[in-house]
Amino acid sequence: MERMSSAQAIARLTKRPPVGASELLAQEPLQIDAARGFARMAYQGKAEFCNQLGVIHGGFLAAMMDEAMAIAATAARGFDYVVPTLGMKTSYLAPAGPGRLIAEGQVVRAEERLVFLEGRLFGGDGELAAVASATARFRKVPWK
Amino acid sequence: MNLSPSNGDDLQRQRRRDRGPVAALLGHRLLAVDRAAATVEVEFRAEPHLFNPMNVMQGGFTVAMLEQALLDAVAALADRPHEAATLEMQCNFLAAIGPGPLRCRAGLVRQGRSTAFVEARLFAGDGELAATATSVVALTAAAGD
Repeated sequence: MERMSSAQAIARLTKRPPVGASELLAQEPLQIDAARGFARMAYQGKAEFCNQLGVIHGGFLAAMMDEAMAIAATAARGFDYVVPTLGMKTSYLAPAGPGRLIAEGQVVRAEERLVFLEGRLFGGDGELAAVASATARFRKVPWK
Repeated sequence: MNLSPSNGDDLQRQRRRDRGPVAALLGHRLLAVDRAAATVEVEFRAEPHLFNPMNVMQGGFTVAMLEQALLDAVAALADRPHEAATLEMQCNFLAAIGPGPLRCRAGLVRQGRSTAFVEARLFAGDGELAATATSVVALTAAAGD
């Protein structure tokens, strides 16, 4: 596989219009390093994602990291796979208020059928709000 | 101590608890509080706005539902009012989740002065176990308590 630039990888990712989860989260790709298995994405922390304390529900921070980790993994395999998550651990370090949030996904180790991932979620002020680690499975995309 | 499996007043009070706008997005509804078993039962709805391109629920939203149920369990079953914040949560995804109603049972495993340990199971419409979770929740005295 020839080396893919971040712009090429983003073009590849956005070839398919966002649906469901990535549309709800208003996903915007910022950087994808396919060779390194890394993705940095922006999401919109909408008012409707807030709990009674007016901060983004932890599960939605997990959803953003899950998306970013899946993109890091699929980019590392030339976008030929989807990556259903098998298990995910999330630690909530600080509350994140509504607004633009940044999630990063990083492949820690990729095997033929399994991938180990890490995720980070930064609040509007750049503060690290949550971290995650996940195990996922590579599955050939059905739409090619 | 009230050992009746589901106390109506208790359930109504817990249903009215403010959960913020996110509850509607997840189709959240508290079905039962069972103090004797130290569990709550919660309904959610898996809908297309929560799905991935494979047309099944994106794992993060499964986390969101489980986390909400875990916090419901803490709120309903802790021995006194607290502000609860999840510190960490492990979620395992056993089966893909398609559209429709889901049922979640969450239980308080142990509660100390400043920490609660909670676990939950999420079942698909056909009763299949679809996801499990455990969490560690930080408790602080509720304002005015």
